Amino acid sequence: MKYHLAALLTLIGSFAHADTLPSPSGEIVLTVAGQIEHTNGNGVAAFDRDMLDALTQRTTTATTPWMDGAHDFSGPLGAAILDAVGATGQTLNVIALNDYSAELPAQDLRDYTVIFATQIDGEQLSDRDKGPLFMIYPFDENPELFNEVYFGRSVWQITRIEVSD
Amino acid sequence: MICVGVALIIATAYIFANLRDRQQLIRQSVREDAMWAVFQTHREASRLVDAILVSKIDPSDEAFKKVNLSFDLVYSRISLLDGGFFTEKFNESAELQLDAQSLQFNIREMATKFDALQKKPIKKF
Repeated sequence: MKYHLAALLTLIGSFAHADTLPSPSGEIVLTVAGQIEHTNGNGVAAFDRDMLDALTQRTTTATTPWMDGAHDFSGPLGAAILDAVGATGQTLNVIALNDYSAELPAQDLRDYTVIFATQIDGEQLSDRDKGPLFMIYPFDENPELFNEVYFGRSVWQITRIEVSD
Repeated sequence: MICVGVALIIATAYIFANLRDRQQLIRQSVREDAMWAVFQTHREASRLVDAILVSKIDPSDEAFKKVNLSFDLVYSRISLLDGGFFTEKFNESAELQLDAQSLQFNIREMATKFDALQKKPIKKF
């Protein structure tokens, strides 16, 4: 009876884990750490490309100061990433491959349809072209965001997010 | 009537002053961004040289990965020189424009070599 109960609890535990955040099977693209409720190892939430693709996606057509003309950026919604990791902190420190980082309010990702673009014009963003993840504010839909404050928050080559108070 | 005329002149002067301030702010912002792009490119290029030197001393997989990553970061900065708002700033100086074009050419040449190297197995001595 004890064994059955233990097996049942283990099974329930594994389902609960699967419901929160599965483990990555491919190369890790993004790591989220800090004040998060859902992790998949070592106190962090690690995402491979398939896991990011499984989140709610959006395509944003935007003009940015770093590229000529408008482009179609696609990727998971920032709010979907926050939900997936169960972020409880109010501040995000978004860190790039070269250790550049920008601090921004987590609320930005709730107030605006910010995406972490994995693709530009249907092509996967490479490290050489602001990949693997490029934070895109909806500049075209919200012209009031087209200023230095949000340019500074639009980190590219994102590899890590730290959530804090 | 005179009062209305004076009020209109003052309002027009105020609008022009505001426009001039705004244009100056935008110019200053673009200049700062261009400087930032150049600074970042220089910093990433220095890191690449450092990574190459380290890989020569210790030719490990980890060291080669770091060289590749450093190169990708330099490449991504180079693309800033011919796209977006920065181009306008660089185009103001013919000398700067030539330097930027030469830099882009050299980095793109290096990219083909890096890509070819990645397809070959790494020889360890």
